[in-house]
Amino acid sequence: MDRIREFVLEHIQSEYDIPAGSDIDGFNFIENGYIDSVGIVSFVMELEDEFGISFDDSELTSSDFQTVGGLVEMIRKKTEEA
Amino acid sequence: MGSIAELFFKQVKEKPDKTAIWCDGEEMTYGELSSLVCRYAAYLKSRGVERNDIIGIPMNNSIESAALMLASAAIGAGLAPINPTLPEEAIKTAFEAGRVKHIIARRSFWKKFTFNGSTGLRLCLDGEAEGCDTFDSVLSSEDRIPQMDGITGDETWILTMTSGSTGVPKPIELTQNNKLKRIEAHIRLYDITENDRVLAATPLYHSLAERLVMLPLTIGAESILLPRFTANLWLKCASEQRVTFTIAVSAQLGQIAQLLSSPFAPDITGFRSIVSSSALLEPHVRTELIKKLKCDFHEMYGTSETSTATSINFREAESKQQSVGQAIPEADIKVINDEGEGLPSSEIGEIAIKTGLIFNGYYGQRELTDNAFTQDGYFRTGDLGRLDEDGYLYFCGRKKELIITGGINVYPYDVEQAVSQAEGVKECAAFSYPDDRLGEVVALAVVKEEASEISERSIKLYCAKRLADFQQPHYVFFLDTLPRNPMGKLVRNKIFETVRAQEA
Repeated sequence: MDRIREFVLEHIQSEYDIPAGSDIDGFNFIENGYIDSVGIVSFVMELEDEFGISFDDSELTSSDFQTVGGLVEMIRKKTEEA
Repeated sequence: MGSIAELFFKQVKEKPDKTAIWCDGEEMTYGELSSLVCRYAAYLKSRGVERNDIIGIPMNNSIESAALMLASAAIGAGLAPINPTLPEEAIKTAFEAGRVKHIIARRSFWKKFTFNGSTGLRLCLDGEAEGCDTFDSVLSSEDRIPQMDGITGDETWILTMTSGSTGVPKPIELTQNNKLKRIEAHIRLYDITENDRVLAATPLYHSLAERLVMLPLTIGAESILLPRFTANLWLKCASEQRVTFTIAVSAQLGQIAQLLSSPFAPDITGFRSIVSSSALLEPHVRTELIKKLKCDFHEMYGTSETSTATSINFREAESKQQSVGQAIPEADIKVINDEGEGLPSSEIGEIAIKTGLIFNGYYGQRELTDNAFTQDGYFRTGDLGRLDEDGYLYFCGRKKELIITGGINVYPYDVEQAVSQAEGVKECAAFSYPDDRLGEVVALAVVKEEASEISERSIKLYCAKRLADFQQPHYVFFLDTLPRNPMGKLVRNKIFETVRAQEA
């Protein structure tokens, strides 16, 4: 498993496991409350710090930011551009 | 009075096949939950956990957490449940204040945490971690009801950690008997029976959810535990699990009302009664909830130290819509001045409560506990209010400096202490900023040192590493000076005005 995916999954599952048998890439961790409106600020900051990237407001509200696969891909593109 | 565990095992004997608890798509009957509780208790005993020992746990909302609460009750041990998102330093301080001897946690905790103060058991809840037992050790322990001789119910059972306005934790100590009195008072107050399906949708490391989970399990009703809150998940859970009763924090109810007003909201008919707590609900939110959920609607006021102190049923008190209600039978309420003297009705002062549901004290802090009470035994809440001529209480704000975000207390001091150590920060002040979803969020006003290049992003990053999720500043404003009174004291309630003026 690559480092980006591992980091994202580890953070999302720090308090609760994603249910066994779920489609991990399509799993919407915002709708399912794994990252809530209280935790989102530190989650974004940790991603930005870990990968040396930054997200703008439109990216944070995009549907890609809500799924594991979408977020991993977003980070991958940003780190490649950096 | 029987202990919490005795009451639970009585229900197990009477209705082993009835569903006891549901959480995150899984459910257990009373018989199945009893088996987990017994194994957990046997495991704890076998690993040297003794009566009055304290177990620290970054606690999530799960059936295993509920089972641990019952297992610790059965062997007379105590729990110090904490918010899993707290930074390492805050966890260490909290565990030291709670004299934590044993730790139970998830892998994410064990990976980053080193706490040398604990010498007892270390259990990892999800998989393996160095130096820890796995949960298999619990599951393979003996399934037999533990010997509860000698458990009086006066042992420390739950330590709820509040950070305290000076950053020093004030562990709110509740014995099983304290908790049981609170459970019984709520059963009477809201007519809860074994036919109810009671929803707990706030974190289990807070006293509200602990009470909501234990209450049904002591009377043979069903406990519905929502692991993570969003308005959608709440409505789905309430509908599918046919919830009949809950106490929710007002910030949650605001989001739920908003969703209910959409044409796609599910039709929910199962509720008998809903109680709003934490902050007064706006009247239009309450009206929307009553209209859509077609049930009794109560508001309550209380603190973790006193439990519920007032209650109001809006169907019965049409003319008191802005009140948080009258004192419940167990409580007596006064409004006092700074000298502790009672004020006449309609005058605003500090709300003080004498109640049979009072906590056992701040754990290990006798002086702090004594100072929290007036000479005639009323607990000083630090909240401001007034009583009308009919004895209805009106909440008028907080005397203590506190930000309540999504029902969780944030002490500005904790945020300021962390941020003030950041390079380039001359001084800072945390303050409450209104928020549609959470009621309030933390905002930060920062005065930079000369030539400092500190930015909003660098401050947020600094906080992400040093503060818990609920303490994170959502907004950062840079000011030339902080508003102060002529004595030089920070006027916190002027900061919002100041930043708004600067933005305009």
